[in-house]
Amino acid sequence: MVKKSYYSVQNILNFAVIDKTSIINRLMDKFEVHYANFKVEDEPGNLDMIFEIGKFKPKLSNTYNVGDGKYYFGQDYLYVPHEQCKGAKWRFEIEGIEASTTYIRISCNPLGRIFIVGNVIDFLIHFKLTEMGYPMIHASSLCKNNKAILFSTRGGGGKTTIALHLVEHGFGFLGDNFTILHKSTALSFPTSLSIFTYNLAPIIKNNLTQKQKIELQIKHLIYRMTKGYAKFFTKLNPRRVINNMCEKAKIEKMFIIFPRTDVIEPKIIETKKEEILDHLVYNQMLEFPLFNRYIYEYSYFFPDSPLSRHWETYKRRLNENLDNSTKYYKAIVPTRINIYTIEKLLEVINDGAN
Amino acid sequence: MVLTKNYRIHNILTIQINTQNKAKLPELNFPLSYFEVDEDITDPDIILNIGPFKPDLSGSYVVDHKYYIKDNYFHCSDTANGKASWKLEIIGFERPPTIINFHGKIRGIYQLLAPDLLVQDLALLPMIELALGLRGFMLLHAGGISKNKHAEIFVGRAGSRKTTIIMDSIKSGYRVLGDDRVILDLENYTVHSFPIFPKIFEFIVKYSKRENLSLYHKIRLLYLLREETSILPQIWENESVKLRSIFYLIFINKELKNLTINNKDALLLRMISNNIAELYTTVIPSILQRRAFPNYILAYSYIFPENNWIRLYNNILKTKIKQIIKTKRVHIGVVDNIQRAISTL
Repeated sequence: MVKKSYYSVQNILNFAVIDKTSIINRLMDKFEVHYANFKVEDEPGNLDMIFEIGKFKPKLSNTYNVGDGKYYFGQDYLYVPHEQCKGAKWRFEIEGIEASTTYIRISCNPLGRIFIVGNVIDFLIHFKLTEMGYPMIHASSLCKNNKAILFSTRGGGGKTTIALHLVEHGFGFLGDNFTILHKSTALSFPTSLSIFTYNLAPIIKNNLTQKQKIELQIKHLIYRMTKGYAKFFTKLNPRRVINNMCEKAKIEKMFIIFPRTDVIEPKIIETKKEEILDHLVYNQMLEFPLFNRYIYEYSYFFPDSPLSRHWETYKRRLNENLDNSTKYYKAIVPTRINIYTIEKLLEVINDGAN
Repeated sequence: MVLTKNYRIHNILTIQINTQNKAKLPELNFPLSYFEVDEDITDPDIILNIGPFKPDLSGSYVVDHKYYIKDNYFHCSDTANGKASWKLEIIGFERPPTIINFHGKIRGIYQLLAPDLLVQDLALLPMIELALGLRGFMLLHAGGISKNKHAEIFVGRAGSRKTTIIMDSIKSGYRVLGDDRVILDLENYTVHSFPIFPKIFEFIVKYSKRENLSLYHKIRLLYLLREETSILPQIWENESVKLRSIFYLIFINKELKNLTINNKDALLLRMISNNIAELYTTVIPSILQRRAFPNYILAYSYIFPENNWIRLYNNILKTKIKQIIKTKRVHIGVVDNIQRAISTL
């Protein structure tokens, strides 16, 4: 039972997902929910990527082998035969990394369906968008009066919490996980919200169905019982709870948020573009830890390839697509985002805003 | 009860390990045994304390709910796939002197045989790499052999048969600088030995014809390690020797003809990538799967982008290796098959 679906990211990046697996394998699939807002009915004119999920035979004829079968690398080709994390297992090949249509074949066990989104598919979307001149950053974004405000943080920094609170303050919503940058404009990348008991903003709490509330409590219990080992997020389409969605807006302000112990009074300091670029790059590198390793291994054999040079390219693209018409801030905040922090941020946002 | 081990890495670096664990197999528990000295070292460059400790997390930036970072300071609570869990604190994360505090638990036989191996693989070896780098030495991931006071080193990814080439060269009278790592003096172009688990390699050379040990050999190895007798210490080259050649092991696939191998910039990038890729590789894959340390460096760099780790890899090593590649004093070659590698010598 082959399932074909098509997706388009802002009409810039188009891809197809061909699912050849059984219903059991699809049980834990997060992909459909995660990218629901990008789904399109008809096959787009040109497909930049085609993902095939299901068993496949890798094309190993022209490859170098590392560690007796740990990785296989070829010109424009990558095959990872075994990858795993906490019971999830997957393997994948990328054929035609630089080609106009890249083929990615992924085979995984049911638990693996959760991990391949963040560890394979998201990276490739990020990689392709970077190459095209639309670098993504790990940030939530909101807009008011056609101006976008971005909050870039690592996990635990409160991207989602801040975004949802600002929605309640009348801001439009572009995304809570990644935001696409292009010529000082933020383009929305509205994937599903990853909800857990610790980041329930009022707007979510008040709009959850009974089933979702129970689901959250059960997952919290599992988290406690396994001492944090098994963390299952609940995926929620932002459109279900947010009416005011935004497609794109010129970036007025960007905040890089650093939680720190011992902080009661949040400190917000204006800074320059040059000061924040490295934080954005390392943030993105930390989002894709597995792929970083593949890149270094691949670089030994193909040091001049786009994949090997990826992070240099990424920094350059960020630099090209951000300018000084945007104001940049570093915010040192308490480790638990509270109302006071949000009010302090709003003060700075509203200061000098039209 | 604290067991203390002191190490002198040639005349470059001193290390002290203090552990509250009792390992049943000390030779497996202490991979740096080649450098062990009897004296009690005052002011070691790196101290590793293994046992319960109380970290000072005041004023730390928190990254990903688990990394606590301050200037020159790192702390995390981490796990490896349900097989091990630990708390790690590194004072002097980018500037020496360095104190590593570690308290962890490994599930299974390693907790009995070699409970201290985890932290040495995970954190001590990378910190040694940094300390050497800041002193002008590169802990190069390569095999190294020497004859007549000249060294040949073989750079390659895992599985490129470095060990096979080295084992073969011993028959032609070469001594070994390292089967996995060597210390390269970036100013004088000399090479110092860096054996890890020396007795295990000595065993492979003496009793097994191949790198990968059969079950019989593994059992015999465990038995011999417990005996604490010498196996074959004379294979090691203990003096520093002049670097003569660097060989890159890339077993060329005949179809990939337009691969430019001798491009000097590419050679530079290959050597750096090889070392960074090795930061991810663990000597205990049955427990760790992959090393988390590069993520610790990234988390630290996320807070403090200009730090000695980044400086080491992006500036210092690149500049020095570029000079080595350009100089006429060192021969650079690319080896495309094992037989040719062996006959080159």
